[in-house]
Amino acid sequence: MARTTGPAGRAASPPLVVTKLDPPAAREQTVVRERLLERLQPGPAVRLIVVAAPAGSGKTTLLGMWREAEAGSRPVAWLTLEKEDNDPVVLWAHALEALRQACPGLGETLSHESLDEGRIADLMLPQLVNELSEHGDVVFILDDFDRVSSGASRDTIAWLIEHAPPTFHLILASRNEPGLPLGTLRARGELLEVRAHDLRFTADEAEALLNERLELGLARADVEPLVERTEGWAAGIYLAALSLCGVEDRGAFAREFGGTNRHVIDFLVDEVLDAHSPELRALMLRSSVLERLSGPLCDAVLERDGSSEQLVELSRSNLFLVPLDDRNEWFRFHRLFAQLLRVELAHREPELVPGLHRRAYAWHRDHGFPEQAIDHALEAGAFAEGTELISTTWDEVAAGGRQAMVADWLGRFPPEIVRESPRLLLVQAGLAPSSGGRPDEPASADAGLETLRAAFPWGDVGSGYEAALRAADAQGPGSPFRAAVCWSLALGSYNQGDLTTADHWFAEAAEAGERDERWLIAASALAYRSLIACENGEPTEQARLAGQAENLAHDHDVDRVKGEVDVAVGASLATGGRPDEALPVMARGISVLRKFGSPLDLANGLLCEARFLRAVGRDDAAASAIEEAEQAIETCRDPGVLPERLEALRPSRPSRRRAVTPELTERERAVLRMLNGPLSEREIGRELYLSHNTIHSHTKSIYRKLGASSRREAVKLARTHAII
Amino acid sequence: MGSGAVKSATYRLAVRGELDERFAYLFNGLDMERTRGRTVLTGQVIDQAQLHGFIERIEELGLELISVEQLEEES
Repeated sequence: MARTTGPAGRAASPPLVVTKLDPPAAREQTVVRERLLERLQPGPAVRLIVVAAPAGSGKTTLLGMWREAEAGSRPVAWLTLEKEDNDPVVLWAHALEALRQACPGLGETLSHESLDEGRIADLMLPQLVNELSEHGDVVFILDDFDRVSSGASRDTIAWLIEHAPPTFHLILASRNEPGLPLGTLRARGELLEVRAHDLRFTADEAEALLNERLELGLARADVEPLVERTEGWAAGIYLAALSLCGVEDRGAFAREFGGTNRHVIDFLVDEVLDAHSPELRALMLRSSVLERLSGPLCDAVLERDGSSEQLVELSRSNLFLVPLDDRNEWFRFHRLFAQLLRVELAHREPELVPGLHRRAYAWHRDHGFPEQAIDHALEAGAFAEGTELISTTWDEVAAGGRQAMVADWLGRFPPEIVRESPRLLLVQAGLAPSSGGRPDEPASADAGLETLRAAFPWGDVGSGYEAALRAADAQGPGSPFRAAVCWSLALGSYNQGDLTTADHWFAEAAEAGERDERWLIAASALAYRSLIACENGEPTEQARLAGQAENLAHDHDVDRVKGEVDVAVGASLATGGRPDEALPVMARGISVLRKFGSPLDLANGLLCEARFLRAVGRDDAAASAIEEAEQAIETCRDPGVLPERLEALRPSRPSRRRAVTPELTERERAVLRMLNGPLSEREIGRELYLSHNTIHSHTKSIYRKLGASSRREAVKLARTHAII
Repeated sequence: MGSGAVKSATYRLAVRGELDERFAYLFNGLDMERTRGRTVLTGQVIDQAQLHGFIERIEELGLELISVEQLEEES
C-alpha cells in the first residue's frame, strides 16, 4: 500500500488499497452466459448500466466475464468499492488510479490538491470530464456500489453520469437499487438495467454449469427441479453443485432438496461442508473469521501447516473462494459464503472463535497490518491489545481521511474501558474537533493541541498537570503524542512557577514537534521559551527564540497559535527597545488568545502586555489589561501561580500574603508523607508505582505550595499546617 | 415530529424460506419461528440503526424480505 504524507494541517492522500482495482480473475467453473453478455451491449444513447440484484446472483462474475470480452476493443477500468469509499477523497483517489491504469495518460492534468478538501465536485471532476472527452471510448465498472451509501460520494457519481461525454460508459453493480436519479435516465432512454430476473439461471445455463463445467453428470430431469427450487439463484445453484460433489445418490439428494421448506442456504451449508474432507472443512470454517486469507496466515490462525496448498486446491474446486492475485498468495471468500461459514462456525465451534481472532490479531500485528490487527483484537475482546495498537496507529489512519474507522474502533470498546483509559481518551479527544458533524471531512494531522485542550481540564493547572503526568507515563518517546505531552507538562510547570522545568519540557516539545510535524505545538513551545528567556533576563536568547517561533508559525500557516507567538515576538521587540512596534504585535496576539486561548493563556498574555505597558508609562492601559487578566483568572478552578504574578504587577496595593493552608492533592499528600521518611525520590516512586519523574514533579509542586526550598523545610512546614 | 430514530419498539420481520436456529445469532435477541415456508423474526429492536442492521444481514444472505412490521412501541 502506498503511503503518502502531505504538509501538516492538510489531509494526507489516502493510501491506495490496490486490490480494489483488480477485476475478478477468470475461473474455470464459470459458465459464459451469452444472452446476458449480449444484453450488456447497449445502444448509443445509454450513459449508465445498472446491474442490481441480491447477493449471490452472479453480478461480479458476469461483469468480470464481460470485461474480459471487451478489454480487447476498448479500455475497461475496474473498481470494487468498500465502506471507506463513502469518503469522496478515498473514492476518487482509487477511481482516478483505476482510470489511469486502463487509460495511460488520463488524469495527467489533474492536480493532487484538487483531491483535497472536497474540491472534487468543483475542480477535479470538470477537469476529468474534459480529459475524458479527448479519450475515445472508456468503460468504468464500479462493483459493490451498495457499499457507498453516503450522499457525498454518491453525488459525485451522479454528477459524473450527468456531465460525462457520450464516449464514457459507467456500469454499476449493486445489491440494491442505487440512490441515483434513475427515473430521469430511464425516461430519456439513457439507462440500461439488468436485474435479478435477468440474472436467474435458466435450465440450460444451469445444465452447462453443472454438467459441462463441474462434470456432475446430472440428468436434465434433476437439473430442472434444482433450478426451480433455487429460483435460478446463482449462489443456490452453486451451493447445490458443491454439495452434490460429495453425494453418491444424487437422485435422493435432489428429492430431499426439492421436498423441504428449509431455505436453500440452510439446507446446503451443512451439505457443502460435509462434502469436503475434515481438513478442508476445518479450514473453511475457521478461516471464515478472516477478511482475506493467505497460507501463512491460515497456518498461524489454525495452528497447523499446509494451508497454502489447501487454499489452492480449494480455490480450484470452490468458486466461493476467490483468488485476489495471480500468484495464489491471497484469497477471500465470497461475502455470502463467508457469512454462512461464520454462522456454521458459531453453531459448531463457538468456543474457538476468540482464540482464532487472537491469533489473527497477532499475525496481522507482526506482519504490518495494524488495522486488521485492531479489528481482530476487538473481535476477540482483547481490549488491552486493541488499545495499544490504536494509540500508535490512529492518527495516521485519521489523517488519511478515515476518522470514521477510528471512531468505529472506539465504539467497539465497552464504554467503561474507554473512560478509564487515558490513551483512548486522548484518541477520542483527538477525533472530536474533526468529527463534529461531517464524517467525510479530512482530519487535521496535527491533533495534538486540540487533543490536550479537549482532554485536559481547561483552566485547571493542578489536574491538567496531573493528567499530563499520567499521559507522560503512558506515552514513551516514540509516541506520536510525545510533543503534545511535553508541551502540556511544560505549560503546567510554567503556570506553577517552575520556569526551569518548564523550559526543559518546552525545549523537548519544540524538538519533538518539529520532528513529528506538530507545528502548532513547536511554535507555541518556542514562543513560551522566548518569554521564559525574557523573565530570566536573556535578551539575545529571547530574540532568537521569538524569531524561530515566528518563522515556524509563518512557514506552516498555523494562525491559531499565533496568540502566544505574537505575544513573544512583541515582548522581544519591547525588550529590544522598540515599544512602538511591540505593542501592536502583542495586542494582535492577545486578540487571537481571546478567541482561541484558554483563560490561562490569555491571562499570561495580558500580564506580559501589562508589564510592558507599565514600562512605557501607559498605566491606564496596563491597569485595564490587569483587570481583564483578573477576570480570566477568576474563571479558573486552579490558576496555579497566576494570581501571584498578577499581584506582583499591581502597583499600589500592598501585597497580600496567602495565609491559608496550602491545598495539596491526594497524590501530593501521599508523596509528602513519604518525604517525611528515609526513602529517596526514586525509592518513593517504586513504593507508589510512579516514575521518578512524576515523584520529582510532585515534590517540586509541594515545595512551591508550602514555600519550602528543601525536603526538611517542606516536612517542617507541613507539620505546622497539620498536613502530616 | 422526530425521525423516530431512537424509539425502541417490537418488530416482526418475515423472510422466505425456513432458517435454522443457528442463524439466530445474526439477529440477536429476536425470536425465530419457522412456519409454512417462511421464517418470522419477532422481538424488541432498540432503534432504527439496529433494525437496518437486521435488514442488511438479510440482504447479505440473499434472502427474500417479505415484510417488516412494527407491532408496538415503547412509550
